Parts: sequence; structure tokens; C-alpha cells
Amino acid sequence: MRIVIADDAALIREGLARLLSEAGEEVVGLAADGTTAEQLVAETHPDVVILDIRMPPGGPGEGVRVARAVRTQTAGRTGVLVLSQYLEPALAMQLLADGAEGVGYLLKDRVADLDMLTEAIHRVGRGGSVVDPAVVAALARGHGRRSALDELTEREREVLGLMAEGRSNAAIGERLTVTLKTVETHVASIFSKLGLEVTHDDHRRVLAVIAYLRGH
Amino acid sequence: MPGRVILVDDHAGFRARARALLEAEGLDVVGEARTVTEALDVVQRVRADIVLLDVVMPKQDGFEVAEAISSLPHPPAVILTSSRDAADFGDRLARAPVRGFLPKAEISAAAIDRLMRGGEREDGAPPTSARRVWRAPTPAAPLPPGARARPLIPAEGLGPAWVRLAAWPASLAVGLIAVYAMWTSALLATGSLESNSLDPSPVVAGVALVGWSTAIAGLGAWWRRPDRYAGPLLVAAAWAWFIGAASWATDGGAFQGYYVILMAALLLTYPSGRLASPAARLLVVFMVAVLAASTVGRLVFETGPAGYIANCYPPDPLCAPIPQAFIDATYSTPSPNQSALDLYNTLDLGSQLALFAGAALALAAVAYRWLRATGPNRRVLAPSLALGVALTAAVGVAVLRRQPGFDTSIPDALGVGLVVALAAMPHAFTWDLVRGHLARTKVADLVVSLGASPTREGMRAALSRALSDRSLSVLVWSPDATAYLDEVGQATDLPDHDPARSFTLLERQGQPLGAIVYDAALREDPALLSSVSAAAATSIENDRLQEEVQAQLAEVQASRARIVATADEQRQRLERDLHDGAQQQLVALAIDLRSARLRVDPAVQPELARTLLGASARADSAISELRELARGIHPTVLTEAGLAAALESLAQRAQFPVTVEAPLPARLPAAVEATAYFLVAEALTNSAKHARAREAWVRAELIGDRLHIEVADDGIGGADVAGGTGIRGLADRVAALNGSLRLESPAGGGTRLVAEIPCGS
Repeated sequence: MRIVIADDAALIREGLARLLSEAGEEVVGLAADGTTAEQLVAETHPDVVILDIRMPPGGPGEGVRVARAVRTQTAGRTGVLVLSQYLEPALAMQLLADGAEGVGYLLKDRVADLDMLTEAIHRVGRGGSVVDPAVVAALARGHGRRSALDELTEREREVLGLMAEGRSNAAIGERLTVTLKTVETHVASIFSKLGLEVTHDDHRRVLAVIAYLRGH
Repeated sequence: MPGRVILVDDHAGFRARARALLEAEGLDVVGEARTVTEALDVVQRVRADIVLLDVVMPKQDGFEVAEAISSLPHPPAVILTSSRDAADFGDRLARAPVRGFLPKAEISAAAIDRLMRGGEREDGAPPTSARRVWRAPTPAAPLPPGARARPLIPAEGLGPAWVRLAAWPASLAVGLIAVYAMWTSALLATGSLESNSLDPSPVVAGVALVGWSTAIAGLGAWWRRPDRYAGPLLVAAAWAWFIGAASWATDGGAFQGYYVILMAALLLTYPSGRLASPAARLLVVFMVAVLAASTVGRLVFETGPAGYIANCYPPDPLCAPIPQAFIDATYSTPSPNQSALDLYNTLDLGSQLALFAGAALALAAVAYRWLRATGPNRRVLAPSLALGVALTAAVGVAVLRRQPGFDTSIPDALGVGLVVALAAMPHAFTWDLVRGHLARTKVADLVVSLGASPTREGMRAALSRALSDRSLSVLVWSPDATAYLDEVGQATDLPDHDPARSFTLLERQGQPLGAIVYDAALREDPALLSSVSAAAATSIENDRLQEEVQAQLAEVQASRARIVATADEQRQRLERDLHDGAQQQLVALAIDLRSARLRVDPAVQPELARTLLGASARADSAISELRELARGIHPTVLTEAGLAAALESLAQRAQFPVTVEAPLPARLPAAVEATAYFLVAEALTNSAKHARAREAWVRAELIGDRLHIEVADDGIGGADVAGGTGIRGLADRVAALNGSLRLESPAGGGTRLVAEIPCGS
């Protein structure tokens, strides 16, 4: 994958670049602020741009702004992965507001989990979605009243969380080491229990599930 | 009174104002001086009676100047003046060789006159130097402005109450004696003179009517206004009238006419109670002298038992009867003592003419004053003018009747009219006095209505009512503009040069508060003015204090809000520093550790690989902990996504189910959002920690421009704002934003926290 990294902290910028290079990725540009990041993307046409959520000149939220701009400018050819120090579903939702395709929201601590990081990069590079599991967990916790979620089985809730993280049925099956068929059964059951409209588009599914979690 | 004044003051404005004031009141300002040197020069060059000297002068103070002046040959009297209180100068004032002290606000011809005369009859304390000294009162507490002037009449009034009470039956008795004397004398006369047999009852009735009417008017005025001379003067006139009548009936009228003098004195002194000029004093002395001579003459020459009802019809005490001896002489009976009779005749006619002249001059003086007066002053002088006309006419008619051959039949109607006028006029004075008294009782109402902290216009209306002066205006001193401001905040000059307007400066401890401007006629009642001024000064001062307190409160409120805003900013900066500093370092460390792990083959160096893995995990959890710490200090979601998202985020983090309903518009002021957020956070923490709640509900909505926040749980209740510093501090925060906070927490009944925070501006 051809990657541009934008982070105002040089240590992280350089560290990430070295780490990803060592992991076999191609880092084609480094930016210290949002404006430079946009220029680099326009010049180098990377597959993925990794954005710190908080950068000059916009401060907190600059990453989200640049991400949406890049998605529009490149007509979705460049995936964006926002690294955030905030475990806030509301901020993740701001990022996903224009669509989940080729967009990811990952907590910054995940840089130590190289497998997760590279998987996320590859997923958004291919046009998939990524939502940090911790954010999904926070969403699932925030329920006051008893809800339809209580009717889900333990396994179904697991599947729901993985759907919210942006994984496809195949990836979920791989993760839970079950067959694709079983995953599809779980998904159908979840959708009928929660009263959601069935969709096979992964990106729409992410949004539907997250919207459901938020709304309850 | 002496009236040549030199003004010494370094302030040109004050000199101009004082000059205008004193000259309008009849004093002569013969010189002015700005400095000490000038003052000594002018005092030696110009002959003056009074030096009005400012105590506070540049370079040298007034006391030293006063010493210097007093050591001159034939020094004028010095009156010290200052915008400060007499008490401020302590016993220096008492020791100074001066006539007295006048606060600047109280300078008037009347006050100067009072001091000049007061110096000669005051208190009887031995003078400390060759000159008499007026001792400045040193009150324990500062007196209200205006209350410092020494009253002309003692506070308890003229004559103790029992004297005023006893005057009623005494006046009745004097009248009865006079009526009885007249009646018996008239019967005797009609019996003896068949040709002139007239019914005496109209005469007696007329005399009784005028006498008692005057007495009642005088007694009423004396009773209601013991502070004024007019009442006792009218009573004295009534008595003089009765004595004159009795005298007419018994001894040939030796004591007639004194009534006219007393009434003339009333005309000349009303309303101030003082004879305004040396000419007036001379007039009264002249009338008394002539009449006294006449009395002596009559007592010497009168031989018959009673006078005739000669040409006087209706016979009245103003018309002296013709003595028997005179008739005998005129009507061909030879008299043994013709020259003495001539002398008597001259004397008699002279006294009659003197009375007439006196009455006419008094009338002229009143008319002159009336013509020069304006507005309310004319109203005050109207009774005097009418009485003057009636009195002069009555005496004139009496003199004419006195002449032999005067046709008595013509002026019957005139005579009746004059009797009615003389009986009615005194009541006009009483009415005028009691009206003033009513005005004074209004001061009590005034103080009450001013106490209710009225508006400027309300205060003006109240003062205007109390002083019965619709033209009254209230000026308030503005230290910022260094000017007096009128009702609409316009800087206004004091009416220094307008003789129709007068003003009283309101001061407290030498600091100007304001002024009331009113019709010049009101100066006639200084006691009322000073009560009203005191009330006005108190009211203005209260207003000023209230304004100051309000301003301070607003300042305190603003500073509280600033403290909250500053605290928020600091928390935000701290949070930013944590993210930009320590957390970035930790993330970089995690990346380096991960990078190191890539270079280590666990199969070759299992120990090192394990250590690196552990270090990675610790860096990871350090990042998480730091993230939560920063979030607690100031949640970024609040600044980035607003209150609703932040409250949702709180609910997601809670250890128990929390339902959030926050239908809020986009964004609220930062201070309001932060306050609401920390309030809910603290409430939820308490619900989890202390209330053992299983569930909680949060509601935030905007009603009007107020944010309503409600946090409820199903816990054990029993919480108290005073109990936890957390809620206490947040209650202060809410109050700093002008909001309110209420905690309902019955034991066992859950806890409900309700707060309202205004979002306007």
C-alpha cells in the first residue's frame, strides 16, 4: 500500500513511517499539518492517508476535516484512517457522517498493535470501513433502558460488535472461526431481532448498526 | 440692619453666586477679594459692615485672615463660610474673633442678619475677646444639611403651650368686658342725648365681630404655628381693639388706636416676622410715640365720664369720640382753658393723622413688595395687601368722621363693609400659616415616600408636593461630569442670577450630593426648606449608595463568571498539553517498542521478546489511562461536538445504565456547556458512588434562553448540597452564571438534581 502519514508530532510521524516500512508498506509522504497532507495526497495519489485527528491548523477535529476533504477530492480512491486519542463515538460519527466507505477511526494506542494497524490500513485502502472496537464497546454500553439488545445471544452480540467495527461476514467468520454460513445465520437473526432492514452492503451495514447502537 | 458686605473667596463662581443672592435679598456687596492680600487691602479701603470669608483659602487659612482683620481699627464683622460643616473646624471656630459661621449652602441675607443680631443677644457666654463670638454647635452626630442654621424662634415655639391655651378664655373675657363697657356707656349716652338717639347694638356687634374674629384667627395661628410671630401679633391686636373699645366707652378713648399700630406691624413683618428695613422700624416707633403722646393728652384733659357718639356711625373704636370739654368749647359755652383745649385738639388730630399715615405707609410698603414679588411670593403677600387696604380705609374714614360737619349718612355701607373686612382679613393670615403648617406635615409623608426608593421623577414629585411648588426640580451632582445633572441627565447650571428662582445645595461631609431648585418665595420658610432638603439629601445619598452596591454586585458577578471562564480555559489548556506532550511521547514509545519487536526473533531471544511485549502492553495501558485522565480534565468531545454528544459520552462511560435525552440546538455558550457537563458528571459519579443507583436519567433542554438540566437516579437518596464539596462547588459555578440549582433527595426516594442556567449573552 502507498501511504501518506500526517501527524504534527515528529516522533510519531517518523516512528509510524519506520514501523510501516519495516512491515512492508510504502510510505510516500509525511505531513505535519492538515494543509500539507491535502497537498501531498493531491501530488502522490496514495492508497491510504493516515491522519492524526488533532493537527494544526484546525486543532482537534482537523483530522476529520481533512479526511472528508480527501474522500471528496479523490472521489473515494484514497482511503482515510484517522488515528484518534479520543474514545468518543460522537467524533467517530462525525467522520462517518458522509459514508463509511474507505473510512476508518482507530484509537492511537493501536499503533502498538501492528497487525491491527496494517489490517485497518488495508481494509480502508480497499474501500472498507474500520471502527475501533473500543468505540463500538462504548456505544453498546451506553444503554439506559432495557432494549432489544438484551434479547440477543452472547454470540449474536459478538457478531454485532464485529459488524459495527466494519468487518465483512467472511472476516467475522475468520475471526470467530465459524463458517460463513453460520455468520450469515447470526446476522439474519440479529437484524430481525433489532428490526433492521437487511442490507448486504458492508458499509451501509456499519452505519445502520452504529446508528442503531447510538439511538438506544 | 447693616448691609455692606465684602466677599472673600478664591472661587469666582461662588463669589458671583453669593453676590447675586445677597443683592437680590437687599444687601450691598461693596467689594470682592480673591486672596488674603487682596482681602486685607479691600477691607482697609472700603467701609463695610460684614466680611464674608471663606475658611479655606490658598496659602493662608480663613482663621488667620480673621485675626488680621480683627486687629484693624474699626474692623467689620467677619462671618466665616465654607462648604464644609462647622463641626469640621472644631473649637478653632469658637476661638476665632468672628461673628459666626455659615455653611455655604445656607448663605442668605436672613441668615447673615440672624448672625449679626444673634451676636449681641446670644447665649450670654462671656466673649473670649473684645468681639463677641458665636459658638459653633458641635453636635455629637453630623446634622442633616440645612439643619445647622440656628432657628429664629425656639423649637418649642413662642410661649409654652399653657400660655397659648390660656389665651383663648382670656381673649373671650377681654372681649366680654369691652362689650359690656360699650353697651352700658351707649345706653347712658342714648339716654342723655335725645336728639341723637341711635340704636347702639350694631356698633357693639361690629366691635365684637372684629375683635373676636381677629382673636380667633390669631389664637388659631398661634396654636398651629407657634413658630411664627403672626399669631401672637394678631391676638395682641385683638386685645388692643377691645381695650380701645372699652377705653372709648369709659375714659374718652385714651387707649384707642394701638390696634392700628399692631396691625401695621403685622403688615410690615409678615411673613418673615422681622421688620425688613430701618424705615419700617422708624415708622413703627413714630406711630407708637405719637399715640403714646395722645394717650397721655387724653388722660390729662378728659374730664367727662364718657365720650359722645358723635359723628361716628356706626361708631367704632377707630373714631375717637369728641370729649365733653371740646363740645362745650365749640358750642358757645365759654371755656376757662381755651389754649389747653387747642393743644389737646392738635394732639388729638395729630394722633389720628399719624395712625392714618402709619397705616398708609405700611400699605405702601406692602404694595411695593407685592409689585416686586413674583408667583408664590405674591400669594404670600396678598393677605397683607388686602388688610393694608382695609386698615387704611378704615382709619381714613374714621379721621374724616372726626371732622365736624362730615355727613355721616353716606358711608354707612362703607362702614359695614370695612367692619366685615377687618373681621375677615386676619383669617387670611391664619390660612396662609396653616397651609404652610400642612406643608410641613407633608415632610413626614415625604420621608416615607422617599424611603420607598422612588425614581428620580418620583422624588421630584414628592418634593414638589411637600413644598407646594410645581416648578421644583432636583439636580444630582455627578462627580464624573463635575456638574449638576437634571432629571434627564443634562448638565445644568444653578440659577445664580435668576431672582425668581432659588436653590439649596445638598451636601454631606463637604461632598456635594445635589441641589433642589425652587421658587424664590419658598425662602420665606427656611425651616420647612431645611427639613425637605435633609430628606432629599438622604434620598439622593441612598440612591447613590444603592447604585454603588448594585455596581459592586454586578462587578462581583462578572468577576465570578470570569473566574469560571478562566478555570475552564486552564483545564482545556492542561488537557491539550497532556495530549500534545506526554501522550505523544507515549505513543512514540509504543511505536518504537513495536519497531524493536520486529527486529527481535522470539526463537533466538525469547527473553528480550517477552520483555518488549510487556513494555508494549504497559505503554498501551499508560496511553489509555492518560486519555481518561485528560478526558476528566476537559473532554474534547464537549468542545468538538457539543453538550449533547458529551452527555451521551458520559452515559456510555457510566458503570450503570444511563438514559440521556438532550434535544439541544447546535451549540451553547462554552461556559454553560462546561458547567452543565461537569454538573451531570458529578451527579452521575455521586449516583454510582454514594446513592448505589441502578439506573439514572439525564435530561437537558433549552426552554426560552435557559438551559434546564435534570439528573435523576433510583438510589437511596439523602444527598445534600452542603454534604459534598463536589456539588457545592458546582452550585457555586451555576450561581456564577446567574443560574439556580435545586437538589431533591428524600431518604430512600432517589435523588433529583435540577439546574437552570441562563444562556443569554
